[in-house]
Amino acid sequence: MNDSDPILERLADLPEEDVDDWRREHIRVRAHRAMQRSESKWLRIYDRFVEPAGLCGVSAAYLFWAFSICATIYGV
Amino acid sequence: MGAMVTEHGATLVARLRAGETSAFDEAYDLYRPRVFGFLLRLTQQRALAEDLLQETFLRLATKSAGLAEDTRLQAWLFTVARNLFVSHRRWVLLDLDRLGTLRRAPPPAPVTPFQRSSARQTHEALERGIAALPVKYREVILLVAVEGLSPCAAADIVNIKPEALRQRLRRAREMLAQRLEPRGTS
Repeated sequence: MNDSDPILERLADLPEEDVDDWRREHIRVRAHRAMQRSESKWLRIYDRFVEPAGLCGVSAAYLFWAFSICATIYGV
Repeated sequence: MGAMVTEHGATLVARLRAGETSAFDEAYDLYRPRVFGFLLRLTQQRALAEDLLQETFLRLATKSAGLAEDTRLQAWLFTVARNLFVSHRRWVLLDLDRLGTLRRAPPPAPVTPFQRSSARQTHEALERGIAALPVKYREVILLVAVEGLSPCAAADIVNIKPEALRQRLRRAREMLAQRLEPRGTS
């Protein structure tokens, strides 16, 4: 497709782009960690069920506490 | 050569499925610059392209065990990167504060850090031309002309028929040529 088209040929010669060294290694480290986590069955269960359930529980308790404080202040 | 690449790709996928981090490193070093170049030219924002690149490779890391045996890694990565960009764009469009800004024609700034990094004037003109294309044309020309994917593979990534992709590519090429003509680069 690019053989006879000078514009498309020139596009193929555009310089390569890349992220800086810090970012490159940061992504690599995070990905390795993610791979190791996804290998462990228990960590997968923790990530998928235990942590979200725990966060939901904490959030619900906080909301309940905030509403009860508001109810006390405004005398509802 | 093509068969060798396919064979290597299949081995790489098998190693990724087995959870080898060295396989991830190999895929990361092989495809990162290409995926990043695609995202950078698609988004025109370095920070956003970096975030989407990170998300793309984190998806590869978390989903590697569940990859199908016949996965074409390059196409898989471009599909994920493009879908992440589409989701981001949809989210931005929902942000009413930004809607007014997006409705204006997106004229690329005359000199941005992205353009400054391009050494040659021809490349700068091409980068500006690509940046000025509407997204649906930009992604097609980036996948086929810049990244060298076959029209069929690009059509799969963009989720349209190959004929439609060819039409879009032709239109994108015409628009690009029109933008380049006044500068005398075509």
